[in-house]
Amino acid sequence: MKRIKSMLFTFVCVTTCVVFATACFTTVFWPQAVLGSEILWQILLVSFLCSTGIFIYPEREQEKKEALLRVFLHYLEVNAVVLGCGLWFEWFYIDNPPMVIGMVLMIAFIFALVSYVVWKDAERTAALMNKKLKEYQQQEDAGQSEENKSKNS
Amino acid sequence: MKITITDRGDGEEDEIIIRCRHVDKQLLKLVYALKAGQEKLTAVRDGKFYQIVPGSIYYFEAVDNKVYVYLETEVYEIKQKLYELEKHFAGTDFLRVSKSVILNLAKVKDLSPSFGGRFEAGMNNGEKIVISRQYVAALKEKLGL
Repeated sequence: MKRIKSMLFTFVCVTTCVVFATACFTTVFWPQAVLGSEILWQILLVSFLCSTGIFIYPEREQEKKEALLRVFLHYLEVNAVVLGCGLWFEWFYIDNPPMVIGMVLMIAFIFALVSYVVWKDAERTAALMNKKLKEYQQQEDAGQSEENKSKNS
Repeated sequence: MKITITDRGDGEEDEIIIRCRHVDKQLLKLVYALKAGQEKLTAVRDGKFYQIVPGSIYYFEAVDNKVYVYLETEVYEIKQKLYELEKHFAGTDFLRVSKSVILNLAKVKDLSPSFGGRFEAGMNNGEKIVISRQYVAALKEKLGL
């Protein structure tokens, strides 16, 4: 359940970023294009496939090197999904280098942005945990001094 | 809560009697803390035996089938297994934070995020301890989140 929640959170972030990136990409490369409703389904499908990448990270413990390697693998998976789907849905043409570079840069930007949002969320959690930790330690200290007072009296 | 301390007679053992209507979480915690906090642990360093007060421990770590206890600056080896320590210190400030580490929350200075959903505990002595993703939920629960 925790993983599904995490996947949904990633899905929301990725979808938001993909919509933004699509707006930029179409403005630059397809300024005259009239987009059909199918683009919305395509965006949702690509976002969903990208968010399944969280399953690359195992539940078990991992070393820092392994964690970094898995981040890299996730990045490759996202590239494969977006470029593969992009070609299939004809978002870009493989024989048009500026379009391909544009797509690759867009993927890198979205990946970095989503990673940043996820990191910020973890920082928020850490801040909350630090607040609770201080409260916990103060409670423990109060209990300790109460115990010492009882001992002394 | 009313606390009464009475003198015991010569030759009698120190005794704590708890009179309550029901045993709640707070009371259980107190009982565990009394039981675990008073008992000193026997540890070895350089072939010498030492008695360690649990409150001075920063963390326990299992390395190659041996369990080490880390204080502010010293490291000792102890006989108990990590799962035994986890059971012994259940309900106290000690918490399992990874497959190989049990941490004393009272010695944690701050918590910060790390790679892959992990967190890092900055200890009062400057050390950094990794909190595995699988144990983050237990930590949150312990802190009341």
